[in-house]
Amino acid sequence: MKKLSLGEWEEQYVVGPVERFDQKNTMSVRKYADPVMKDRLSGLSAPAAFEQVPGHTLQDYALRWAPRHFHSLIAELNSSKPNPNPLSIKLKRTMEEANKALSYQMNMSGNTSIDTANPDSITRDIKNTAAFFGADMVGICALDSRWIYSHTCEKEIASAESYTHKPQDIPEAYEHAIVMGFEANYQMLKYVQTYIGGAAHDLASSKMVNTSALLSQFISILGYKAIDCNIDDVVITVPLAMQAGLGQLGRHGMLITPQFGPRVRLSVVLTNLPLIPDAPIDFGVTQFCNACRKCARMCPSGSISFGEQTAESVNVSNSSGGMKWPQNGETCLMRAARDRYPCSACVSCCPYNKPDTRFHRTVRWLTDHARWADSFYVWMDDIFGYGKPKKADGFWDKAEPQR
Amino acid sequence: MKKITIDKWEEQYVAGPVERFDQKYTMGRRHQWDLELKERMKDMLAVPIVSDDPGWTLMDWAMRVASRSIVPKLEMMNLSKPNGGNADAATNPFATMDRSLRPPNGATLDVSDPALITQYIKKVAISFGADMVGICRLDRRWVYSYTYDTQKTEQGHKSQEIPLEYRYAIVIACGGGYNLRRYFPTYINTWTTNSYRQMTANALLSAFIKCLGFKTIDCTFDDVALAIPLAMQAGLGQLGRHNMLITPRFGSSIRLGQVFTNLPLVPDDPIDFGVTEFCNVCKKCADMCPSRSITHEGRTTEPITISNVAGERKWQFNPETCHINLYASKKPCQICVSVCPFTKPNTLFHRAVRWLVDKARWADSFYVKMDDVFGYGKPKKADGFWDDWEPEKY
Repeated sequence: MKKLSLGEWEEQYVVGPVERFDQKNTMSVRKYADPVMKDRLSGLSAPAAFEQVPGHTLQDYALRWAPRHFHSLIAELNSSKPNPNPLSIKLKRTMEEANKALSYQMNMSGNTSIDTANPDSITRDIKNTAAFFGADMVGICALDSRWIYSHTCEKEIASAESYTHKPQDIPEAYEHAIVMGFEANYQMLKYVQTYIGGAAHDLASSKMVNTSALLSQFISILGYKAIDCNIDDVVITVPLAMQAGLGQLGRHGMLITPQFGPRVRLSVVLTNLPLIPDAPIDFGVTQFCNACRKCARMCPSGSISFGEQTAESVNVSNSSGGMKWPQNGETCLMRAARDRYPCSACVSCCPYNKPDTRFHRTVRWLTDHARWADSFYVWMDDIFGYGKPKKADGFWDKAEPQR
Repeated sequence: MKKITIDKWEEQYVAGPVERFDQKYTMGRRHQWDLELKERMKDMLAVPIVSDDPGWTLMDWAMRVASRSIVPKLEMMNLSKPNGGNADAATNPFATMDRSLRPPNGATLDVSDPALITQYIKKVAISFGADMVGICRLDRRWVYSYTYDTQKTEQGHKSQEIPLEYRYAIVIACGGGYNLRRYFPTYINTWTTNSYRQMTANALLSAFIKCLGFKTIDCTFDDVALAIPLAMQAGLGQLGRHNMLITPRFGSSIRLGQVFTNLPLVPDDPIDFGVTEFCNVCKKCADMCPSRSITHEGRTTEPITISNVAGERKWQFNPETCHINLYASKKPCQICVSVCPFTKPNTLFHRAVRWLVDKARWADSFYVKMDDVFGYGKPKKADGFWDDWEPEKY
């Protein structure tokens, strides 16, 4: 694994000028804001598909919806964003009212701030704090404004028809982005295209929204500013995560990390705290993904490209100027609207999605240092039987819960 | 560690009829209306102490506050309490969002085997972040007779009844780890991740059960019922001299949560692993308590202040002096949790000692002596804490 300079990283991933992306073009907004997609994705809001098949039973459904409901509520109620949900402002007022008695705790903010003469030790402490609050990975980069959404879209509540579409700017004082990764459960992710696989992601997200909120609060108590970007709704996280040295872009359009492969959820805290950025890393993902097409093969909707890296977009939901295997978010979500159960096939079958054991670390070392043999590693991954969806029979009886 | 019947438990801990406790008399609520106490605790509004001393810096203080900062938000999201708690449905933005938590397409859960459902619920609780989970029948004696809203004061003093269909309480505990506990009495001792982990696990578990088509009351804080008797009945641990629950795995460094439900479940048995006998001879928490609020005497059933519950057999504890000292000193405390000999890492050695404490109870005073000899329960200096700190994952 080698560290790259930002210039080298730029050469690998950026082609020509990047136009800041409008959140209106993300799939999660297009499902209500784009009339054509709204129609095609109407199944997303229909009652969930539900049958007496392992992985699709009522308790599997509940296992996924409980954390999903939770993290989406917390995320909606983040009042630190430049364009916050009006609901979050209402809630903030209600909370301030309800917690007057506790306001003594906050008396300190504004009166004093930490000594920032040594950004090295602050960087170390911020990383330790993030880990203590629950982050599995932490990296820091200088905030590259190209990855900030030019405009954001906001709905007061999910069921509302109307939404706002406003330009978004982050003040220049926010010089750094702290990027955190949260591991999704490896065992649960094996149950692809069931609610159990979906629950793995949503449980990681539940932890993520808490940790991200706590770290933002920690920074503001220290007398500095923090914007909590926890659910991909302020910035595009993958390029920031790459710049912060957490991993590299994979064929499936997701970040691949050395420790957890693609099974991470990402959140970002923007701050004006003086920090030391990390360097981007290269551990052979680009070459590997060029040789490996497992995710493209396993994708039930054919949304992942079999081709080479390109800067061309497939549709308006791809951001411009990035060198990648462009993924088709439209067909991906149309599958979800049709089936109405979660997928996660691309994350689960990715050869980088492995437990962090000595054996797998050795293989990872090889994929980094002997890249010419990439197609051999992919072949071996198949031979060893990795990446096959696991039947959910007996999950509830056998599985030992892991945290 | 042996399981005991609920009757045997009753014999050990309950003396005579228990009158349901009024939340108005908890220390948290007395801040609102007890003028004498309020006067004596006015220092709580002062600016907290922050200095350059290790363990007392702005960083240390910020960790203490930030690690609790999501708690009001989580509390506000909870609309399931009979009397609303802080979450007033009229102004609460979550009121319209809660309805999505129901089974799709009228699906129903097969409840013919409560033992199986119990097993599943426990697994789910663990995967949602609980470290321990137990189930008891919801014993209404521990439910507050009245709740007292922190905002509305007297108008918010309302009688509270839990409908009879809520037959069970699922009790969870989240462990707070050991290493940070050694840095008492500094801010570091009170850093916590288990408060929000407990509340999150509670919220998720409650949502999970709602999605199965059953009802829940998520008790987020202990503001619906008394947490410790329920936790004992659910088999999570025993009562200690400091009036906190002592669990086998985490000692007293835990946080408790409860979810009440009408889902058919199979209750657990209370446990006995020698805590009562041990606390009878060990007085470490009483010795170390800066406000002398923990008794050195034996167990009695006489409440010593209006904030003690009547009818329970326990080492009486004075929450008034505890709180007054806490606010007068403007320093965090939790020393009783940190010095408790049961608060230890879950290593082979400590498990072996715990086994002895359980099986050879006649030697309890020797174990206490050894705890001193090994140097446990002494404050650790926080010098260089931030430089050497390697955060643990819980």
